[in-house]
Parts: sequence; structure tokens; C-alpha cells
Amino acid sequence: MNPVNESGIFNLENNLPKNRASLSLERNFGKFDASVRANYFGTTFDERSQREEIEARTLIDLDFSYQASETVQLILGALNVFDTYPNEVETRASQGMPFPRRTPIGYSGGQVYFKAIYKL
Amino acid sequence: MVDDDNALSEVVITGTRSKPRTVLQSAVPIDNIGVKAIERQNNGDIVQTLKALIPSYTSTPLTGDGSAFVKPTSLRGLPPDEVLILMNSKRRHRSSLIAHFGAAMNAGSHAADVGHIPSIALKNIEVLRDGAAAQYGSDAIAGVMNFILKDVSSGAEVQTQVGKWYGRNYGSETDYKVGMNFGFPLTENGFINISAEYAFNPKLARGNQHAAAQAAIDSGIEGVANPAMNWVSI
Repeated sequence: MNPVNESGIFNLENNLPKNRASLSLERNFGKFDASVRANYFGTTFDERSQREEIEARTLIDLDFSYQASETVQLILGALNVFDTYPNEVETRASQGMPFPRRTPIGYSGGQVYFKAIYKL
Repeated sequence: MVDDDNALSEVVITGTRSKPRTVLQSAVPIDNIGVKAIERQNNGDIVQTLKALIPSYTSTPLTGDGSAFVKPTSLRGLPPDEVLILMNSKRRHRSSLIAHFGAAMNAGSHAADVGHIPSIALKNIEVLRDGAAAQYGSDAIAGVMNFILKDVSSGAEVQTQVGKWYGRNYGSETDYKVGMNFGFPLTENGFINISAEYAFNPKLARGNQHAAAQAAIDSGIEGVANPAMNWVSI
């Protein structure tokens, strides 16, 4: 008996991207810090039998930090600032799920956030 | 990725049996993620932070079974339980979940739940992104992640954060988190360092109304949710 069938092997090899890259730039301007980051996810395939291709995507993150005083730091940032989603696939569309469920790109979309840190 | 407050922060202790080495001198590839990089992320879940900062690390969102909570994470495409998770260089216990769903590599894996680690408790994270089984044993086939906790014996820190998702079709969602960290001296030679964190991550509506639910509404059945769908967490 073969414990791993052909589709199992295909999924092991193709559910996660073969290529993944991350590029970060960070710059300090006195009390300000700024950074921008690009995360690239290569092509993968959906896990179901239809084997639909999930195209490569690059997600961009930004953050700005301001040291307001000795003790207080304020941060404004955005994750996936351009609200990038993976391409839609047919597999589960009839159940209302247009996106591939097992993609490391994620399908939660973008977010902006604010953060305050107080250190004594 | 090096915290430039303090030159000593470049010293890493993962993947070596001798005295600590710096990242450049290490014989194995190590990412050292300092507290500044961790702080500036919206880390509602530390997995999000790791995914953004470590190229070889992936995490797939899930809508089914316990994998929605214990994330299917992977270093270099290998199963999550083949990454050794250390806390202050000691093995971290595994979660109670044996994963069933997820990307294929996740099936049957029994991994530590990295997402439960409060980000405010962390001083830095060292990631040995290569097989280290010869040093650590077979649970380090995909690599080692060493979470180093804060060890200051004085001071206090409070973090608050709020995040707003852009949303898709069904409005936007808000997440938030508050965290505290206190250090106390314990005699002259010791310390007590306490961290507490509360985080709220909302369920996110990223799908469309389920066809069967819509059909039920169309046929006049009352009390059917709109939207009724597979929800997602980050």
C-alpha cells in the first residue's frame, strides 16, 4: 500500500510557494523612523482536485514611528497597504468562498493600525 | 533586524554550544529579530509578525477545525512540528491540536502554538533557518525558533494598539490589544519579570453569501444569517 497518493505528493510540493522573498527598507530621521517592506509570494496551487493556480503576489507593509518623548512612542502602520488579495478560484465558490483557502498570501486584505507604547 | 540600542543585542545563542556568537560569525544562518522590529508590527498574533519579517516562514489562514487557532506555520515548506520552538533556549511544549486541515504539509502535524506567545514579553526572536537536527535532534529538521523573554529587573511598559481592516463587501473590522510588562528585582541577584496581554481578533468576512443560505432567504425562510459564510481569522 502506498501511504501517499499522487495528489498527496502534488499538494506537498505545490501548496506552499517555491519562491518567497522579503525586502525591507528602514530609515531613521531623528525622532522618526520609517520602514517599508515588500513580501513576495510565488505561485502555488489550490489544494483541491481542480488544481487551480494561485498567482504570485507582492504585499507591501508600511510603518512610521515617532518618539514623542523619553517614555512615549507612537506608531502608525499599514499591513498590506494596497489591500491585495489572491486571485479568485472556482473550487469553493458555490459555498461563498471565492479565495483559495490554503494560500500563504492570506485573504484577510489590508489593515491600518495605530499603536502607543509607554516605557518607564 | 538588529536592535541598535545596544551592541550586545547582536549576540545570539541559538545553534551554538560554545559562548554566544554574533549573527555574522555564526556557522549557521540566523535571523535575529530585535524588540524594535517586533514592537512596530501590529502583532495581534505573533505569527503575523514572523510572517512579515522572516522570508522562509509562511502561515496559511484557515476557516476549519483547530488550525484556525493553532496556525499552520512552516519554515521552508516543512511541517510545523519539524520546527523546534524554544523559549529562552528551552523546548516549548506542543499544543493539544493534531492538525488535520491546512496545506498538505500540515496534515497530522503536532506543533507548538507560537501564536500564544505574548509579543510584549519578547526581548528578541532568533530564527535558525536551516536544518539543525545534528545539534538539537530530529524536531529541528526545518529549523529552530528561539523566543527570548525580557529579563529586566526594573521598569514598566504599557502597549496599546488598535487596527482597522479595510474589509470586503461586509464592512470593516477592528482588532485591538493591550499589554503590560513589569520588572522587579528579586534580591540583588535575581529578577521577576511579568507580562500580561489581552488581544481581540475579530472574525473577518471575506467571502460571499452562501448560495444555500441565499436560496433559503429567497424561499421565504426567516432567521437566515446574511452573510452566512466561511469566516476567517488572521
